[in-house]
Amino acid sequence: MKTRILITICAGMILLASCEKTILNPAYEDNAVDNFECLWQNYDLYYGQFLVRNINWDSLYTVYRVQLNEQSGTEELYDVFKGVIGNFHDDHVFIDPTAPGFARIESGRSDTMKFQTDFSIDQIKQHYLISSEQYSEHILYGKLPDNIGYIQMDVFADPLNFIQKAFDEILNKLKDTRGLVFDIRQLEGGEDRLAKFIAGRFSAETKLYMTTRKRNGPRHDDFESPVSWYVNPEGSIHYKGPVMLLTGRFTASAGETFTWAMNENANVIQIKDTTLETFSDIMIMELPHGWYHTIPVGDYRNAAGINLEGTGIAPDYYARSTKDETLAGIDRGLDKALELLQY
Amino acid sequence: MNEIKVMTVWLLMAVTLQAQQPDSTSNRLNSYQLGFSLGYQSRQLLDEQKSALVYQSKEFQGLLFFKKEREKSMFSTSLNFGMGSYEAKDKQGRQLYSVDYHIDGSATHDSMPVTSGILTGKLKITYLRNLSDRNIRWMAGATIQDHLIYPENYVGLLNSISLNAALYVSKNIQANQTISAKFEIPVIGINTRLPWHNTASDPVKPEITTFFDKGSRWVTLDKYQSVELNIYYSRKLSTRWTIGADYEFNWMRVPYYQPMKSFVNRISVFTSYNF
Repeated sequence: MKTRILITICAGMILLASCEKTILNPAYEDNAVDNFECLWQNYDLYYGQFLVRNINWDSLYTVYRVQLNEQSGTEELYDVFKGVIGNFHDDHVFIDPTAPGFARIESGRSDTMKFQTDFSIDQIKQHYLISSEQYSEHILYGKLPDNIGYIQMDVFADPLNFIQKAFDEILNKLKDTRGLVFDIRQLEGGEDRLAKFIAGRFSAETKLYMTTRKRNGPRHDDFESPVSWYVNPEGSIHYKGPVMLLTGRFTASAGETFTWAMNENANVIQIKDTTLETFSDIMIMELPHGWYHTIPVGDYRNAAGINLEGTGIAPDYYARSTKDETLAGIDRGLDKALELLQY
Repeated sequence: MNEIKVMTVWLLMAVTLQAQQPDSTSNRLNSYQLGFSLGYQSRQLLDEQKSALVYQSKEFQGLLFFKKEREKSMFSTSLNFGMGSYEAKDKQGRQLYSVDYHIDGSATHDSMPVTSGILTGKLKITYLRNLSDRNIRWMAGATIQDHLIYPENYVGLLNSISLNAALYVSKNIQANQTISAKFEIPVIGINTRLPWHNTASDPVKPEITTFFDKGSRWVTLDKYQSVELNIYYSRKLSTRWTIGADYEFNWMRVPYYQPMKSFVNRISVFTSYNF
């Protein structure tokens, strides 16, 4: 009797172990055609800017699908992917192959703008800052000549309570300065909620700075109801003096929504260069080949209701440095900020 | 349809297995059991909202349980938790490759392995009443359950609170040995998974709050299908101590927004103190 029970249980377990394909039934096989179909479908379902960027996604399918068949190899697939996502011109669209020898496929400026030539924190420390402290991995602050404060951040990734404490301490130390330079030229993104909170440390009144809406259905115009984002005084310590916000082509994503929020504050002037031009949250998907790709899902607009994807936020004053100037310790953006703070 | 066939086979097996047992009765008036189990569970999961790949977990599993048994009813509560590795089944050992370009024109090449872990949990409160109690004891009732699947990479992220219909059969095969099976399906519940766009952001609320706010919805059988089958073998060592083994199969399908499907095999050994 016990043997029969044991056999019955074992047979059942073997049956279940062998029926993975039946139970899970994946939609795609790992061949070139299915990888392309999966990629195309993912953008079709989730990409939030077809209408803003005026992309005819169906016609791109027609152009690129015929270039592949089930026998196509990884290199052909890579080339087709490079072609198809190149049409987005969107820095938040990229594909990360997980195979050696295949570099990330970029869609926007990042494809040609590989490294930053107009900013060097080492040169700023060496030639401008008279004192500085690395508060955390992502926050540096200090003082410039003539009693000017300086804060530099490269990502909004810390927990909110950490940011609260950090800005309490930093703004307390910089409260007696004549003005402040907030440098986000290297800020690659992060959490919009943190950007809103930090901008609130420089805010005197509540102002709308952004509306966001995200895809919620299969049609390209299927969106959730818009969400309004307001910048308003946050925390216990606020900086009320003039603030020079340094932005550049590497100021991206949450760095750009931060720029929108800061620009609503009356005491802020944006200097140096236009931001990268990519605002939306992204989702990360996996293809049958195991490669990752990113999809911006939102339609983000400024207080005036304008979508600046593909355009970026232009500064009040342009002040660009060449690579040679940067390496020589000349920072035209910072020079302009200091010049404006003299008045 | 294939899933239904597989489940039908399992149900028939469970019932057949029970019907094969010899006739006996047990003394279960006002008995209490407090115990724990340790084991291993493997989950295979396809979450098409996040990935085209089938993921597989290898989880260490533990369970704490309490059971109060009366002549005509049974109350039990259990907390099951699992943790372990979680990788795309056919793409193990993947690497992400990156290149950092520097202002002097040089470049640094780097790579990092793609790894992920998973945490799972299941809290159950079950009440069962006798349907018949001759050779085989049949019971039916309901379970309130919270089931959490928390992968680090969010592939398959789900929290489900549900009211399950439960069916239970048990049979004493010898004076000190019992074999039993329990079958559960959720009837109604609240499922939380990432919304259509797979992100959770809000001007004020933290991500976790936004996840529950924007990702929760009422579900019934058309939006959440799950079948759980447990088969237990237990042996009384003394009037106080029982040991046993438990096999669990769980199949689940969440058809919205893009389908998520999974099945879990779990095997564990348990011991309990009876009082």
